[in-house]
Amino acid sequence: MTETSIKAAAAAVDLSIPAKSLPGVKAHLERCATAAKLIEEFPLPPETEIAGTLSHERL
Amino acid sequence: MNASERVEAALARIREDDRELNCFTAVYEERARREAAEVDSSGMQGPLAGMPYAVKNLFDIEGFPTLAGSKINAGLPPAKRDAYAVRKLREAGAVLVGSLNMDEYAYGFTTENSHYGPTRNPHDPNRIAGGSSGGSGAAVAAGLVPLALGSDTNGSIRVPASLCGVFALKPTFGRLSRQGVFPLAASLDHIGPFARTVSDLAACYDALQGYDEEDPACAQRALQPVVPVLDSGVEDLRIAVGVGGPYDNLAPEARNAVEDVARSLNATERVEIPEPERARAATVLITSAESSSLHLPNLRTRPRDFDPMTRDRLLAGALLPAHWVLQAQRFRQWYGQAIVTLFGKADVLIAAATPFSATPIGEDTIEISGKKHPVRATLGLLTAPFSFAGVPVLTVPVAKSGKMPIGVQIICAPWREALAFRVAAHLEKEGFSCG
Repeated sequence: MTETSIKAAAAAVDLSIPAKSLPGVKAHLERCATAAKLIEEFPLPPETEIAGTLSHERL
Repeated sequence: MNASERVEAALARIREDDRELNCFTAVYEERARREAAEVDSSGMQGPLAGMPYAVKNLFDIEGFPTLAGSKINAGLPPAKRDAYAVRKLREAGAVLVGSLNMDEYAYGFTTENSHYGPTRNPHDPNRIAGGSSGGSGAAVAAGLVPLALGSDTNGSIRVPASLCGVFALKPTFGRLSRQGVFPLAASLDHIGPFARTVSDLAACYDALQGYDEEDPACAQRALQPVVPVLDSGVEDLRIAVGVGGPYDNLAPEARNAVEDVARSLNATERVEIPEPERARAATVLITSAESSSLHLPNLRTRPRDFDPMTRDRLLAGALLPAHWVLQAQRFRQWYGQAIVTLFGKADVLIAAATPFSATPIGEDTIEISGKKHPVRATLGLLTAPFSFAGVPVLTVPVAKSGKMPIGVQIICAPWREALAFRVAAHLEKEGFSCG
């Protein structure tokens, strides 16, 4: 993940990353990428839905 | 003492001791005196009548902006009414005396807040109180108030309870209303009490129970008071020690604490906690994405007003691919069931609450078993899997003379808080206390 790609991703959500924050943002994104890889390696059946909090009992 | 005398005593302790500890960000002297006088004149009875307490400063207090540890929120309009939990405690006669320090937007485990200063651990003011409800843990540990409220997304009640050596509860997800509590990551956020005794913790938890339609996660369930079961003992409970992964990689004080508690409970069985690293990884993604989404407007316009301790993580969270976050929430569905399955083998699990006791303020790394670990990221390793699964956890202090305290988690199946209270009451009788 490069600083250029981080700036481009930020621009897509109308966000500007202050230069001072770029190393910290990069470090956290790399931590998140490692976390995402760990989750992705875990096989889940297609019918496993996201854990949500919406309860139809109350609608 | 009547309520007014108890409140005056608490206010005096806060004036005297909080200059060093920095637990409080606001003290409501006028309101506290008024509420105490109301309790005295009403003749109200009950375990909480006249008891002073304080709340993490993300709870709404009528007439004041809800800081949530931030500088940005100080500019918000004052809250129009108290949070649901504060209203419930007032109904029970407890008297609010102040609001407590925390990590900015509850996004941290140390309460080293750059805007309001660090909260110091009462057992050693050079050390952290833990976080993000650090003011709550430290205020109760120091005896400034006998009771406090905090919030827990990945461990923010249990970590400071462990490092400050007090009792605390993170209930089942959906048990207690979070109305009027500033969120970190709503799909994981819980609230809960801190106390110096199990009976105070139980009385507070009982007073907080109740369905609230204003919290979409709050479950419609019958009240399940725990005060009546505190003396029920533990003889009929199957209690096992949770092991595996980070639960085995502990500093000596954490390992000894678990062994002491296990011995006291005759817990000889071992149960493997499934996928703790993956659970923690999922919480990192969900917390990052949800908190960043919440703060995106301010991240766009005034990033420099965020605490440097949280700003970069919030900025990064806005850039996560949707797939990562959705997959983490799908994994949560699987994980909740996997944890519930463990309770077919045992009624109660015990595990260390933190891998180590309080570190010096400003310390970035700690060595465990010859390997260096980042303090802030490691503090929540043992707590995050259980809040991710939404199961109730009560933290019991293990305090040894001359040493920093550390906590042990008492973990139960969803909605079985009563079992955790029975175990905690038994341990308190066995000598596990705030010291």
